[in-house]
Amino acid sequence: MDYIFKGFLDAGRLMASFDPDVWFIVWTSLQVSLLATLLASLAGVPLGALIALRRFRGKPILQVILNTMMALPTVVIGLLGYAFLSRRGPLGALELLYTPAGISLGLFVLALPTVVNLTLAAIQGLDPRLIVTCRLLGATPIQQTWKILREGRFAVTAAIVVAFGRVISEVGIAMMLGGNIRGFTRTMTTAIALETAKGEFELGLALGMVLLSVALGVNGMLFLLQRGKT
Amino acid sequence: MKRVLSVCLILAITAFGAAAGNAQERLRMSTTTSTEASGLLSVLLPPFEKANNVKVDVIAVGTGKSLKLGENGDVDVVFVHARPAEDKFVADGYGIDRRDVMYNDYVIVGPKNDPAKIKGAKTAVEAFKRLAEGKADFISRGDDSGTHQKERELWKAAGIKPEGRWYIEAGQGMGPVLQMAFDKKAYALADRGTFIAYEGKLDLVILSEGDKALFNPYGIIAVNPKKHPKVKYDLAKKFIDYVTGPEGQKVIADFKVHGKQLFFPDAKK
Amino acid sequence: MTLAYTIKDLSFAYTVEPVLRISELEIGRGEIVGLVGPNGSGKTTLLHILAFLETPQRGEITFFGRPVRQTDLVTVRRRVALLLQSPYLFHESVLSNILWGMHLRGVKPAKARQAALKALDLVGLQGFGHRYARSLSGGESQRVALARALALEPSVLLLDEPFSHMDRQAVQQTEEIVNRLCCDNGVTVVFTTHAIEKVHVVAHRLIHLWQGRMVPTGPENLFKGVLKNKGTLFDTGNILVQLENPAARGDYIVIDPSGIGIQLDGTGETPPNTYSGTVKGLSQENERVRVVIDVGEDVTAFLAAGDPISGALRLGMHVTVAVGPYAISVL
Repeated sequence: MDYIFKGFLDAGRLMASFDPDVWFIVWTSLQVSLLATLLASLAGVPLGALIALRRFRGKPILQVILNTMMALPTVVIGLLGYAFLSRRGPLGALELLYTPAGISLGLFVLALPTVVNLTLAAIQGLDPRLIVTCRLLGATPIQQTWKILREGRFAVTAAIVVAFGRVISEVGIAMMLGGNIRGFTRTMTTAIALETAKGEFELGLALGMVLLSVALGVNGMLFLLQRGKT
Repeated sequence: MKRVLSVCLILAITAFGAAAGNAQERLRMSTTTSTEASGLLSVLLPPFEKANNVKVDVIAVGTGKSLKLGENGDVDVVFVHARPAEDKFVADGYGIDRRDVMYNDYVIVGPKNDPAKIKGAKTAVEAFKRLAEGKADFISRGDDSGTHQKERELWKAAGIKPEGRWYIEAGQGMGPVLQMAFDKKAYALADRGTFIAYEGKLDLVILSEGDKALFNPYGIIAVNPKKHPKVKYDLAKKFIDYVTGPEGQKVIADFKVHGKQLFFPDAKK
Repeated sequence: MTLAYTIKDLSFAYTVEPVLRISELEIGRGEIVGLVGPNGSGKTTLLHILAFLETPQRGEITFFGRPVRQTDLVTVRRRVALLLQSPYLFHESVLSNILWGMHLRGVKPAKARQAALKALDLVGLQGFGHRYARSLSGGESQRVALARALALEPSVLLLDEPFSHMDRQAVQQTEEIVNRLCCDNGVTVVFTTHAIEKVHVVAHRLIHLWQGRMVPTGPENLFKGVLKNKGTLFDTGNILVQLENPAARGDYIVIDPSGIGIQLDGTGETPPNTYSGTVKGLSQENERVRVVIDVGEDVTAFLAAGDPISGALRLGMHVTVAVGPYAISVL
């Protein structure tokens, strides 16, 4: 039991010492996660709105596909990503494999279905009179969409925050597409995996605690957002 | 709200900057997890990096995957310890300029009280035979790594096909396998380097060592530019020359863990 | 006089079954029209079609003389203001709510703000601009929605059940606004209601809807039955009605309450369509008296307030009811 306790103590000490290696790892995690989330939001929110608001055949099938994509294991996305980004693969010429940009791309693929699906749900959860009101006030479809996203801003922001949480805590894609290269593509999660495998529990725990703090920050933000609604 | 967006934008730009515009040249090497875990690379690489103003990206995965990355041209040089697989790699045309670098050795470890009584065995093969009889638990890497391949060689030499509840295929790296051996009071085949790193953390002891059959030679191979024109062959060649040259070999010999030398240089001229 | 709307051969369905069928309808500019009918009669649907929120599967609509095409929808919607029965306000300030519609139309901010404040004034909500719209009471919300519509200076104002949740003061205020709008500004007003006797706005015209069709009068005296004798007789199961003009087909018959005469029981010939029964209901509504007599069916008659017979009637009295031939329509 005091083995675990010692681990926590060492973790605290490590964080307080501002070890540059550790903070570079944290920075890498944040970088790739923020970039992926940003891109997924820019693409996913309008797409989710489009699906929610337009009438077309096959909506239920699309919903099933989106739900399935949200359950894709990250290692599978990582494997597919590797197949595409490898020098042998179709996108090999982009030279993205084993770079932070490559990780971001894989994380984007992970985050996008989440953003789309949750934005879709957010908009479907809005008062149906909202869209009627927008139309009767004479809004064009684009004006309607903006207003709807504004009215649903809390739920849509929550969708983005959820996607970010998912992305920053995953390890399969970062490992496969980043390669866990020291000083370059090592993220918090891949570092934890490595250090734990090496038996370096203190470092693994410290990074775990940092990751927890980030997750706490994310959820704290979500909580504050929900509170601001009322 | 606007502030959050602008922060995100700045970070996004920096991310792109870091990823794309990395002016420094990089040499990509795949190697095994145990090699990286030993800590050798943190002393072996810096002199080369400084002298040539490059960064060596180390991708540490299992032996099988290391070679696969070489096959696919996703790395420039491969540094593993699995001679048969290495030879095949070169024979298939994926690698060229293979050179011996060093060797370390494997040890058979287990619980202090040695329930399978392998301590007195004269050879490693003999020890393995006793392991199968005594039916004490044995944790195998099970991941096609160099260690796993060596283990399979020994079973083959002993004429035994290992199966049964006592033979546990972990499918993981050396560290987790040692931990498992400790938790289950079982035996395992480990490279000395990793074991030394764990000495003191786990209550396992070496019960068999020194047999030539337990030697573990390392080879370094450049990925064939004919198969993948984009690989950095010249830089890879420079690195191979460094590692097998007097400077690199000295670094290898001087590398010690807990006061003990792990790797023995044996590059041939 | 220009016509705000002309509708010809309109048919509208949400799924397969048409819920609204109108062969011909005209609404003049500056008219106040009331759409009257029970729930489900299609009046809200018609209102939404007039707001160009729904497009009928069949039929032609002209708006101020021009036929309406799919591409014009946003343009024409901007000339019409619709107030929903339960209006939706955005999660913003009252002022923001009112400004948005003008912002869509490219009205300059300063001018829009002016118009918004003026509209708030009109509905009696001065100073409410900075309040959070969702925190208002039901009555206040409805007035904000009205202000939102008025600020846009629409050519047509459509109100869905505007008086159903209003208190007396709000009703009066709304009446004033509506009357002023149409008389001073030539705005066409169409409103729906299911209880016309509760409405005090002076409607120039009432359109009665029932089961998606226009009927000559309100739903009083609507009876189901079968045609007999080659269409000269209508049998509701309880009473027989003779038809002056034989009908080819029809399942329902409607009798205009104003076309019914009541005689205190007594002598007199028995011309066709005379029934005797008991007075079941008696009530005064504005300038008329509503009498309900049970003659086998419950028949409603309207008498002018000054009619001497209305003064003599008592509940439970036996009377004779005579239905004028022109009061009968077969549906």
